[in-house]
Amino acid sequence: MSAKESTRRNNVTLKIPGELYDHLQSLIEGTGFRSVTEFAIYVLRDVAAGGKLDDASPGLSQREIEIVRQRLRALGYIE
Amino acid sequence: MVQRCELKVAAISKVAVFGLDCLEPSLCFERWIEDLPNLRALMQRGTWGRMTSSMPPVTVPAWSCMTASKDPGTLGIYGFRDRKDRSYDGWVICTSLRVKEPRLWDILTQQGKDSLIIGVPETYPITKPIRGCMITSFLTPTTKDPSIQYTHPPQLRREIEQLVGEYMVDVPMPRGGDKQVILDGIYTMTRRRFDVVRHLMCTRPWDLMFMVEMGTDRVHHGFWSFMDPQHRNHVPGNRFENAIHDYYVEVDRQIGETLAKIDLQTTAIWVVSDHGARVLHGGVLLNQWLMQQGDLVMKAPPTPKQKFDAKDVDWSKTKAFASPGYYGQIFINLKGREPQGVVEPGNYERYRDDLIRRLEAMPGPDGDPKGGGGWGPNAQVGNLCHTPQVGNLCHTPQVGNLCHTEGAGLREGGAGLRPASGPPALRAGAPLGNKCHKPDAIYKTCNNVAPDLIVILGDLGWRASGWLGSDSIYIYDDDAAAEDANHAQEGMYLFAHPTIQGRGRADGATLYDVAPTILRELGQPIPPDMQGRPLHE
Repeated sequence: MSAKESTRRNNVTLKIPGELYDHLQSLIEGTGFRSVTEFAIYVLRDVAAGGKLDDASPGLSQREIEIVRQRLRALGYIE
Repeated sequence: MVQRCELKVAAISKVAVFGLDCLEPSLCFERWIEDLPNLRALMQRGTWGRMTSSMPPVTVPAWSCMTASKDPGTLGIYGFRDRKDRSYDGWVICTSLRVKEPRLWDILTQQGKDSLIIGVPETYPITKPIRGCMITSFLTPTTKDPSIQYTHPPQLRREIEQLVGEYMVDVPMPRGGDKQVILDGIYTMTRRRFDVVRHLMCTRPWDLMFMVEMGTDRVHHGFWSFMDPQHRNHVPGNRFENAIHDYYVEVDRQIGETLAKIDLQTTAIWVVSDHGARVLHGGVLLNQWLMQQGDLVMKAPPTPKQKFDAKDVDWSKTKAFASPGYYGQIFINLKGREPQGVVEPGNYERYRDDLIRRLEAMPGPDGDPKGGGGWGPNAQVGNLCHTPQVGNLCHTPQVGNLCHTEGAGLREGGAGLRPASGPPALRAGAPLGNKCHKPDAIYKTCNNVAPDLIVILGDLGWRASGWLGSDSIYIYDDDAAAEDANHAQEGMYLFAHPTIQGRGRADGATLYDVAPTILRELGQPIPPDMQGRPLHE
């Protein structure tokens, strides 16, 4: 069995900084998450569900462009 | 040129960069150095000097040029607003979406290094998450709308707002606005940004911290006339005479407070500006001038103070048009390239050279037979008699009223002001001192739609204005734009390294040298296509 196939069946270990682990532990206190691992899996699944990391903001809306344009005009960068 | 150090530099663990947009070297290194104890201490143990900006010396593209070590042509970014295509009315605001070349934090992310990036222009919208944290710049539309993601990771936003309240990417600068309100806003913005920087440095892992404070630019554009006797509107003894000085002192204090949180034994400290600042005398109506010269033809004679609009142009008779800003862009209406081009490709270079000749011979306002004109309340011949021109004609570096000393080492006192009576008036008919650049001659390549000419008016003592409908090509007190200061070609740099003996003053660096030097300090390979060179080997 290849290493790739084995990761499909078994859990693997991810290393995160101890400081971050402690911080996450205090964050989940009083929540429904029973462990940092459970919380991390939840967050990572949520991120992975997006499909990809880039192009999160494809562009500016017309309203956003107008706000920026007015600011640049007041500053003298454009007319 | 900078004399480059021969020492091999041991890689250190961190680099912290304080980017201060528009910080003027003659003010921070000379005139006010005695009042800036934290900068002075860094200078005493570091290397510092004037640093040549990009051409054009404008915030966009300058910071991207610095952090990618690529010229504007390679980036395909020529200003805040570029032509989107060859249509006459297609323009695009240059946000992060236009930046295709990797910048420092992109390179470090690939190398597994963490960055804290705060306020660097052209980082909004966030398209590619980095290792570390990012807070976008003043090109972010607003931080008040929850749908606008101005932080990476997104949840950092809540932490920042709990820390400082509203995070200000910029301060409103309405023309004619209450100056005290504007000044208070600049201080609030700066203090909040530095609070956030200190918080992130103390709570996040980082190898590179790179922040850009815009307040230094805003205070110049808003308050230069109050400080500088050479500005036509200067009134001695006014209540804002020390506004820029006092703000420099505040920024120095903020840097000092931040340095106290840093281990200086393992961290290189940088202070850089993307360009300098100088007095702005007024505007030149470049499209009006092109009309007078017969290069631009409108369908109907323009009415007074008519805004230039592509739909009013008779393109079948127009050879060139201009786009305004702190410098001018000229576009040639080239046959086969523009939709209704008239300049034959075989005549392109001859015509472009002729335009350069005429632009560089443009007489200054005192030589203008119409006497300067303009629309502002001060637009009278009498006001033009003391319009300062010295910087334009003799190429005195930087701020016209400040002396620049090339000597090495920190010196006492700094340069003083010239007499308040102002410099000698321009000889009648003397040229304004314009300088034109061909993008294809100064850049490695020209991506996207480059202007055919970049025009620097009167050594940046004048801005390019787009209005039409005036007898004169000169305009004063334009109510459309801030009129106090323009950018200067040279900004400043200063670095203090834990293991390098400082060399004191070393003018001649370029902003392209910053990124490769920082990569070397962090022990990282320098991409071979970077256009600057490390300031130490």
